[in-house]
Amino acid sequence: MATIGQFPSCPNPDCKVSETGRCVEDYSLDDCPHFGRDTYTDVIDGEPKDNTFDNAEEGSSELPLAIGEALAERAAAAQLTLGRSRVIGIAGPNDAGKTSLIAGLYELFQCGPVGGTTFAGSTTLIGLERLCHHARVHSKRNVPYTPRTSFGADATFLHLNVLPSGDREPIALLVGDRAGEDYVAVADEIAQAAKLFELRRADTITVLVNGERLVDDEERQEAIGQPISMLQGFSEGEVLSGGQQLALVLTKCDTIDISPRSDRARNDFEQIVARVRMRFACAFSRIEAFEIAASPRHGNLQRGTGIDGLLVYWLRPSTPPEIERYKPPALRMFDRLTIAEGAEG
Amino acid sequence: MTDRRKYISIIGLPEAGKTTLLAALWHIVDEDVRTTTKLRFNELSRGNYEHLNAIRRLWRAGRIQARTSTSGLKTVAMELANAAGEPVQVTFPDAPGEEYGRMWEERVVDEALAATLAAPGIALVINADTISYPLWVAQFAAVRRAGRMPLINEEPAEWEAKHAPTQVQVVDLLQHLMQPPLFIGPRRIALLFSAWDQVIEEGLTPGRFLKERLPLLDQYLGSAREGWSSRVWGVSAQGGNYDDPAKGIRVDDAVRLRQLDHASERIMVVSDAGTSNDLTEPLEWLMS
Repeated sequence: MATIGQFPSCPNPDCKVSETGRCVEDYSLDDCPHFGRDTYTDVIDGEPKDNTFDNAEEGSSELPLAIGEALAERAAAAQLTLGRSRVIGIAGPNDAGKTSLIAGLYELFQCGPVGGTTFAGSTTLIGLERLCHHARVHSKRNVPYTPRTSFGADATFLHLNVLPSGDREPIALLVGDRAGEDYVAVADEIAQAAKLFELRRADTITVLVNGERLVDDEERQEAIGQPISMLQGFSEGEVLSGGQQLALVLTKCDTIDISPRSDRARNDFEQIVARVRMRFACAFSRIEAFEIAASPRHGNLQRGTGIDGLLVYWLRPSTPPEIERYKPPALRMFDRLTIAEGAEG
Repeated sequence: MTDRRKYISIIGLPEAGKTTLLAALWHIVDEDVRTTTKLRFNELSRGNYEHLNAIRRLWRAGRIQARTSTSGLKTVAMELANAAGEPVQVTFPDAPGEEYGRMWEERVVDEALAATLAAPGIALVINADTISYPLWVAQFAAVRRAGRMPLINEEPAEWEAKHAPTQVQVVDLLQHLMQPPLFIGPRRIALLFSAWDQVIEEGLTPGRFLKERLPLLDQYLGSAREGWSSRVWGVSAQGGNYDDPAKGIRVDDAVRLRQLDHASERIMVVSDAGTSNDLTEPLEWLMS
């Protein structure tokens, strides 16, 4: 058997096959999946012959590792089976800041806990690093930039394991990433909602309102109307379960803050929130509003401003939709009598 | 007969200082009788110490080590004894940092390296002086504007994995060790910040340094989700800068260090509890 290492031939540290000749898992030596990966016969015959082994000369092969890219639907579903989880759908038109929001959250964790929540790992570090590239110095840009997510492509998920303050078990946060056109298209054609699996499965649907467009006279009215149209499409397309939370998020607040129309933009956002509460109160378990600046360009706000509050909201457990109890039709008059709550005597 | 071998993998990204650490460790356990260490040299046995002696020769002479990338994956074993006099054989793979870089960039691990990563004790070496931080365009541009420096006028560059921050690459490496095909169960990790003499003026304890300079890694290890049990040390295995004969570089630090009566005085091991010259302290913890 070729000599490639100094360890016991069984990589399982509990296995004392080199002393007992018996596999700790009771395999025969021929059947053991671990045994024989290195110099078993050389080692059990006595001490290793050298204290230095030149492993490089063996020309050994490579083992594949987890690829670290954004997860497709099935891989994301597998993550959900491993423990507590929250699925977040982020909907909004192009340039509303969906990708910047995901990248911004990850970049905040690069600096420390976010809103009392700590980073506990990620299976999509390569995917997250790709998202962040165009806002980093290595991109050789002077202004942060976020590339568009491909129109028509299936949603993918970025994954972060996070540990809320005081908790012992982490939560797998899976954040959907899809092209903005796909969400806007639902307002034109309800059938388009069928493919929005990331929203249908979401614990929190996050609808972004582009603050940059609210301060632009030409874009303003469309920016006000679009969230309502999208939500109407989601509702009619049966994307909403009734137990989901809704986060309405005003993005690019750094641009709003330096605009002479900042008060008007904030007032517009308040109107959007009020209209959504009025029309969709029954479609969600909770509706809350947030303001963020995920990747500020103007230097007037910190990177990731407002994301900490949004994260806390995302991590709240969603309420399952209330199921109406089946009441069999009462055939007798006596059965139709009900007990008035709080009635005395 | 019980297995008295203890396996520790020394891992780290390129130029972390893994080989220098081994050279200094070999000096302190094999030769230095002045320093009280948790582990001592026991016997030569039938071993071949050519590689250890070669890297120790360079260390004593105050010359930097040849990059392990050019000399390949080596595995060295030391016959040591603990405080109770019990013999232990500690085995370390001395792998090129590029191999760990490939795990991040190419998502593969060499099978021979994978075999050496089956140790329950991991000594992770991070060069405290060459940490790559995430730098953001907006902040960088603001600094240049404030300094009236011209903005970058180049074609935007495509993403390359090698530019990822040190803490991201290290977290990814540790996650690989907790997943198939490298998973063996819970492990201990001694986080060793090498070149500690270069950052000591910052006045941070090693634990504080981890929290402030590599917060993502600190959070990951602190969550203890994946079965890591960790401790942090600051280590200066050289005590300063060494000569680099290959590049014709000679430095005053090396002259000063060579003049010390005891080479072990070059070594500094700092934990949150105090400072010593005992490089075996983290190893003893890893084996306990």
